[in-house]
Order: sequence, then C-alpha cells, then structure tokens
Amino acid sequence: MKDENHPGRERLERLLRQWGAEEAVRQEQGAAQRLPPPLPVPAAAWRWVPLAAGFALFAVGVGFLLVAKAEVPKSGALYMAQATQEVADAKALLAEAQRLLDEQRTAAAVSAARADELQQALESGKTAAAKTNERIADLAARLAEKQTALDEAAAGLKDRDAQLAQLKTDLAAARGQIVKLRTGLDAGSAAVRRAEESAAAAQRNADNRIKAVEVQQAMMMNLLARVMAPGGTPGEADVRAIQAAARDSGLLGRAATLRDRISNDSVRRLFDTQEVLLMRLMLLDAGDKGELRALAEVVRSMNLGPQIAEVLRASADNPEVGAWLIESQVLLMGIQRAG
Amino acid sequence: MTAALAATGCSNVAFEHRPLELARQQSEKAALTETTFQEAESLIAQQRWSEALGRLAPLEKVFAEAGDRTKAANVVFWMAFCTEKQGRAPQAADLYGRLGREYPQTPAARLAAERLSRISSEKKSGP
Repeated sequence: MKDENHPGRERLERLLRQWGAEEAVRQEQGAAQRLPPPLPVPAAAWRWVPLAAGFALFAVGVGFLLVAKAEVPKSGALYMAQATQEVADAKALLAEAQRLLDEQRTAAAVSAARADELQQALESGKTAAAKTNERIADLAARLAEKQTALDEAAAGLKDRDAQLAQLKTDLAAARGQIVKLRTGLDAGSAAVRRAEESAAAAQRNADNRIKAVEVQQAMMMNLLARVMAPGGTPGEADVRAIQAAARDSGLLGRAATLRDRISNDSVRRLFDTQEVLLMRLMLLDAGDKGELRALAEVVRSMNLGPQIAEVLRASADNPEVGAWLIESQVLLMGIQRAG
Repeated sequence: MTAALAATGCSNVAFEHRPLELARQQSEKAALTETTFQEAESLIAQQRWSEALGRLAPLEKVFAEAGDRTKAANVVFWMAFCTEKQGRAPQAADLYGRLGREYPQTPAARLAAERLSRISSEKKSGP
C-alpha cells in the first residue's frame, strides 16, 4: 500500500540498494585491483559517509517537494498529517540510509579485512616471489655451473674424441709398422737362409781349397825334398823337375790373376820381380850350367826371402798372393843352390 | 857357341890368315853378347824396362846368326815382355805372335802363347 502510494520513494530505495550493492562490490573489487598499495580501509569508508548523507537529504527534500506539489489542493490538516508522515517516512528513509551506511561500513570493514588479507597475501606473495627469485637465481647459478660443467665435459669429450682419433691413427701406423716388420722379418729370414746357404757353399769351397792346398803342399814338400836334398848342387834333372813343378802349379798363369788384386805398390813390385825370375827359370836351359849359375847369382843377390816374409806378415788378408810368393820362392831357392 | 861366334859379324876374309886372333875376337864377342844379355836380364829383374830393351835390341840377330834359336827366342820374349810392361800391349802382342811363328817349339814360344792369350782376353774384357 505504501509502495503504491509512494512510487518515488520506492524508486529511491531501490536506487539506494542498488548503489549500496554496487558500491560494496566496487569497493571490494577496487580494493583487490588497486593493490598495491591499497588505501587505508577506514579512510575509504569514511570518505563515502558525507556523500551518502547528502544524497539522503537530497532525496528527502525531493520527496517532500513532490508531495507538497501533489497535495497543494488539500487542506492544511491533511497537509500537516501528510507532512508529518513524510517526515516520518524521511526519517525512516534516513534510518534505512543509516542502516545501509552501516552495512556499507561493515562491508567496507570486511573489504578492509579482505584487503588486509590480500595485503598479507601480497606480502607473502612478495616474500614467496623473492624466495622464488632467490631460488630461481640459485637455480640459474646452478644451471650456469651445470652449463659450465657441461661445456667442460663437452670440451673434454672433444679432446677425447681427438685423442681417440689420434690413437686410431697411431694404431693404424703401428699395424703398418707390424706388417712392415713382418715383411722385414720374412726378408731377414730369407736373407739368413741365403747367408746360411752361402756360408755352406763357402764352407764347401773352402774345404775344396784346403784339399787343393794340401795336394799342393804335398807336391811342394816332394819338391822341397828334391831341391833341398843334401848332396851338393842340383843337376840337370833336378832343374827340369823344378821347371815342371812350376809349370804344373800354374804359377805364371796364376800370377796374371793375382797381380790385379794387389793394391800395395811395394808388394806389386816384389810380385813382378818374382814373376821375372820365374820366367827366367822357365826359359832356362837346364843343361847350360853357366846360365844356371847366372840365374842363381841373380836370385841370391836379390835376396827376396826377407821381403816375402815381410809381405806375408803385412798382407795376411790376401793369402793367395802370399802362397804364390812362397811357392815361387821355394822353387827359386832350389835354383839358388846351384850357384 | 861356335855358331854364335861365327855370327858375331866379323869379316872372315880379313882374319883368315890369323885364325887364332879370329877365334879370340869371336870368343870375346860371344862373351860380350852373353854379358849384354845377362845385363839385360838383370835390368828386367829390376823392372828397368827401357834400359833392358836397349840392351836386348841387337841381340836377337846375333844369337840367330850364331844359330842359337833358343837364345834368340828368349831375346824376343824379353823384348815383348818389356814392351808389355811399358803399357804397349799391341806391340807386345805382335812380338809374342812373331815368337810363335819364327821360334816355335821353344820354351819362349810356349810362354809367349800364354801371355798372348792373356793380352787377348784383357782386350776383350777391357773398357
């Protein structure tokens, strides 16, 4: 009934309720959105109190004017009653406004508490963020350390790769060396076999030469026994035997070969002298005693024995030359006795 | 020896009325030839090749005229030998070859054949 009689007041109440609700929501949202830093909660609440009071008085005034305008034609008593009713209504509205204001204050206090909670949450969030930042920095530092270690490990791995490659190269070279050594060993073994065969052949050759020398020595001993036999000067037969011995031993033929092996000039000179005397022996007329005496005199005057002995001592590395000199000297000694 | 004396080159006509003198001179010449030959052999033993050749050069004719082919062959052999030692192998080879032709069956010819063979082989294997 009252609502139907006072549509403006109802509208006003609705507006106030809407305003109050929106304000409460706005304050709550504002408190959350404006953080940080939030306004101090009591100050924010009190700021709206005069505005709300002014607005309530304005609404009462307007309502009064509207009623007065509508009831002008009415009587004074009625007007007074109505005015009194209006005042009461206004007071009720004022009380309602006061109640709304209290609600707003309560809501503001709740919002402030909520803001405090949010502030605390923010502070804890900041603290947590700081801790998180510290944790992140710590993790970043550890990550950097890990990265450094990883880089070092990668570098080490690279070095090991290089070492491995070098080792592989060395291994290949060593294998090549082994192959080469095996080849060399095989070649060495073959050379040893050849050397052994050569040594065996040389041994056989030496044995043959020893046998030949033994035969020659036997012949020379027989010759010596004849030319050096006591009983005076050698006769014609003895000279012929000496010549035959010289011819059979091939002394002059061997001289041609042996002479090329002599590098010492004095030895070669002695060798040539002995060769000349041997030629005179070969050309000697065994029956011509004068010629025999002349040759014997030459052999004696030459006295080549000491020179031959000296050569034999000095040239032990050329035994064939020494043997030739000895053989020829033995033959010539037989002629020498003829003088 | 008598043949050698006869071949010394002296005129028999000039001395036919003096046989003892002739014989003496021929004997002296033979002795001189023999001495010269021995000197040459001594020089050869001393390896004095040029001097030996100088002594040997006239002796071949003397011994050949005296009928001593062996001595004449020996003279030629030593001449060839001295020539060879002087480094004149072609001339030496000629002399060794002549020995085989003119004085065969002599000891000198046998030795000459050996040396000629050696010279030939050296010539083949030489530079």
